[in-house]
Amino acid sequence: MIAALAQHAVGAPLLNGGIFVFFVLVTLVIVFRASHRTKTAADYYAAGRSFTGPQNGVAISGDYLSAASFLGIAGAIAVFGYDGFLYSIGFLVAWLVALLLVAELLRNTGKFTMGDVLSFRMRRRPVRAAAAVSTLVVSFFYLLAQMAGAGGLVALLLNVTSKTGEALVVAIVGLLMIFYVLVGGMRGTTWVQIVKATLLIIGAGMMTAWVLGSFGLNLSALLGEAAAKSSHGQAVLAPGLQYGKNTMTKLDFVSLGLALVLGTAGLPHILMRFYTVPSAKEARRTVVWAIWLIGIFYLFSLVIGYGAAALVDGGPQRIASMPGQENSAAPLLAYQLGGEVLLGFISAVAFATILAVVAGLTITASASFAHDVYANVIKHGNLDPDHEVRVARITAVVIGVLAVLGGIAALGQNVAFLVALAFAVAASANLPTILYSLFWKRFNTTGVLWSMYGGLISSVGLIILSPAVSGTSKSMFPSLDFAIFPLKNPALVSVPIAFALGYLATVLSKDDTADPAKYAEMEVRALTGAFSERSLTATPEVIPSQPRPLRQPMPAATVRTPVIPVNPLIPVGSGGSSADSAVSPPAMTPAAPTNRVFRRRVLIAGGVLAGVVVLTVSVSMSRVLASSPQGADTTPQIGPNTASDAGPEVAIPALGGVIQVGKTPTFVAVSPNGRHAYIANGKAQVVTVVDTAINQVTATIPITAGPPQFLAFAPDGRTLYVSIFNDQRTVHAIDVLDTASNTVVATIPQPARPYLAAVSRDGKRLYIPNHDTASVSVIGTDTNTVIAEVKVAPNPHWVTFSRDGTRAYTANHESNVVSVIDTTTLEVLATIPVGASPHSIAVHPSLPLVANVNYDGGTMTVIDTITNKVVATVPVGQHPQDIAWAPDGRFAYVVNEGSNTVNVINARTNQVTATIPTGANPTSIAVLPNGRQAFVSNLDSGTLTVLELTG
Amino acid sequence: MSTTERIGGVGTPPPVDPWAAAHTSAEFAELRRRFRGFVLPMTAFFLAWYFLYVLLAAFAPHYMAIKVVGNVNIGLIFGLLQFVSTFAITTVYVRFASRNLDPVSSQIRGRVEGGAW
Repeated sequence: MIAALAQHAVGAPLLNGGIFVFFVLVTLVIVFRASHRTKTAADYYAAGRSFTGPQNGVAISGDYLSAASFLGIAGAIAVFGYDGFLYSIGFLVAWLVALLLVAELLRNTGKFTMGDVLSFRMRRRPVRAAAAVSTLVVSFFYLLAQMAGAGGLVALLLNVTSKTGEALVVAIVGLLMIFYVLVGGMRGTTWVQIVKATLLIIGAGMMTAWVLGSFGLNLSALLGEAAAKSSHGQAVLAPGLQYGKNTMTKLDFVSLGLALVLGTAGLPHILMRFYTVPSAKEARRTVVWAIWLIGIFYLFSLVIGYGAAALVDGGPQRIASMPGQENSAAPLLAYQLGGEVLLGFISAVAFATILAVVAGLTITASASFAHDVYANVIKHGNLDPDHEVRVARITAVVIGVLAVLGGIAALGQNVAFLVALAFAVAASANLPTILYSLFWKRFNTTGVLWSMYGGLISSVGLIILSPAVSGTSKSMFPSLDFAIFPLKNPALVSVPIAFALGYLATVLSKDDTADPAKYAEMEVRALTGAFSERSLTATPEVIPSQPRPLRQPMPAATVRTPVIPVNPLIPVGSGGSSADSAVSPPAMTPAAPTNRVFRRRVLIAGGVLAGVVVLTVSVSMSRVLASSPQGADTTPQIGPNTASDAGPEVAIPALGGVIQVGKTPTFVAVSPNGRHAYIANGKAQVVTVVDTAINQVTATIPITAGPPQFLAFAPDGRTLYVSIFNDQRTVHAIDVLDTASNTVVATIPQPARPYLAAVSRDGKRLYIPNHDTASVSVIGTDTNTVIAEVKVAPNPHWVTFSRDGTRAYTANHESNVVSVIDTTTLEVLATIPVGASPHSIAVHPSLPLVANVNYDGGTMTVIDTITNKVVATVPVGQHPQDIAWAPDGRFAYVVNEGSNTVNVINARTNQVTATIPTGANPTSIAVLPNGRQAFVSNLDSGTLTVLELTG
Repeated sequence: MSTTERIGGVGTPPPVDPWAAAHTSAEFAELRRRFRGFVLPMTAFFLAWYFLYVLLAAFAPHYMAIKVVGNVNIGLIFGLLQFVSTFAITTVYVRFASRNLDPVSSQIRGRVEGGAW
């Protein structure tokens, strides 16, 4: 079993790398083949309007099913259950807005960008500028999210863990994306999307069939198994786990629901896709295909998400503890089902997804800048389309570089937050304006500017003032607090603001009347598609090459609308010399040599790019190969499928200083959110609180019942259980401490000395080892009364739960065994002999392993919890009293009371890699959840030793 | 399609203001009435239906947790019904548009592009 797990993590990156390279090469070929058909503005921006509805529908699904959507939704379902499903419904229903209200009308009235439609009957320059600002903001946030996500995803799949490695990945994604966009334009990226979306849906379909098949096509059985594997139990099948905490989180969810349903039809990179088809009818078919594909895909995601919870070894807890957290659910399930090949396939599709989506976003942003800002605002429309495309290409490079830099800066940021931001801005700034200008005759330029900038400023402003940016430990700036707006998602407020501002500004600006004739024209065009249809029967390459009268749209256009020489519409009202068809004939002859040069450049660029990719992948492979043989023959490897393979083999924590915490610190525990360390000062009869951000004592809580000895946090961190007893054995109790107020709210009398207790993963049970009665008391945390008592071997010292909460382990000091308790039946399932005087015990964060230290034996033992056998015994210092795992599972830390040291043990090789001095009589250790620091309590020095675990 | 050729550059710009003429025509009024008569109520319906679901999920999770068949609860059925309604509205709209909108709109388009107004 362990060997199999070991193989998994070592082999997968190699194969992933190979499949990645293959995918990248295939997409490069596609893009390159598309390049020789990308000549005109319409080719570059709109793929010559040559795609059919179904093709574009597949491509738009590809755009929409970004990595965040693909990995994120399945992962959210795996970890949070039903609440993940809610996302997908918002994402899907949103398409009805696009289908009924936006797609066809937009297709008929615009040319390349959202600015085309909005400026149709308004004063063009300010409106185009506003549309471009909004487009750039939305696209840029979306791009940052994808880039940061790419770093995290590839880190997970290729086992790249260093910051430099992730930054390199982001840079490669950026380079490839720039290449796609420059060479392939919209046509190339569309084809990449089509290929990728097809593979994605097929892959997801296979996994869905596989999961359902293994449950006999019984959805109910699948749900039951997922609930059984989750520490939340049946709660994963109903809404509320993620958003049900209080009224604010519920309102936050409603706000998110609003942003999702209205944001989709305002996303510029989705809107732009409607221009790649020849007619409104094809735009309609596009949306219909997209709705079916996206809907079916989200149904797959439901099964994949619950399937991952039910089938992946270690269940949702292990998924949440992986480097990519819930994003790893679909890849882990793929590995579980189809081994490395399916894992590699799914991973490569996910990677291709990121590439294709960032390419589409970059085209959109570059088109908006070149077409709206440069050509129409700066150059007043006096710019020939060739020049415009050149500007767009340069812009794409600039945006690509900015996105790489921004993506590297955003690494580690919450990707979902950035995506939600993009949706909220799109729903607030874009959609109200689009709907008003399509459906409300009186809407005018003032209205456009107010609704657009109003929506943009209110949504971005409210996000800045929200808890997503400051005020909580999960915020972007956790140390600052200016969060005066309670919701993380602003749409509930900013969308109504945008609608109201658009209405009021229009009604109040009486002298700013939109041209009624232009409204008539726009409405007729929107509903009929007059002068904007192009035949599908004529293939795109044929049209430009046909002999054509010389282009002369200018005079005619000037007659009609003298102020704006180049009408943004597809046919310039001049008998239809649209930009796309008009530029091509002259380009045919003189451009041929340039084309050849261009193609040669493309080839060189392609070669360089492929070289970079191959180099990177081989470097990552060689690292994997270099690290794997070392541990290959040491039989039980620990921690192989964590990040261990890519990280350093030896970590020497640095001494990070000493915190004075008062006399007799017997035990230290870190709150689940990592913000505080609580110290039990035994004989001093206080519990001391240290703020881990500043490493200073911030509170001292008197414990009047007796000397506090051990501390156990409830999983939500709100309650701390304090084990109390004295040397005379006259006092034994558990104090219930409320961490919000830092006061003792209850005292539970105990029959014997309570040693280290533990709260079950669902927070409902408290297990207390009764040192003197050889039993474990099970207490209900709601009533604080004993529900059951489990007899174990004498002198249980320590109790802890398995990741999935189904087992409890006790270290029994005088009988030299570890007991395994089934938490459902409360039976002792196994009694495992370990070393002399097992004292403390700790469950590995992701693998089926438990380690304990043997106080008199001077060893650490490692137990495989599947076989319940000891698989390793590691000599450590004298009188090891406590043990903790690093959160990533790569190292164990053992505190030696007799030697005044901490040993660092490499979980792969089971060898002590470092020994660090502590204060006098170190008794316990607690590691921050982020793995950066650990605290050791020094009983006789009255201090905590701080260990800097990284850097 | 004959319009292709026209767009390709052979056609002449329609005289005076064909848009206003088309816009005031009875056919166009009928087209707009049919279009808005379908999409606006349908939008109101699906938004109401969607927000009913969102609000129930947010504020009545215990109702959503009631089991119907095996482990399948009201929430899951409600969610799946959102998929069903989305697919159904899509299908109904496509059928409606191709029967009631497309013939009228292509007729008007032909007249606008053909300079009949």
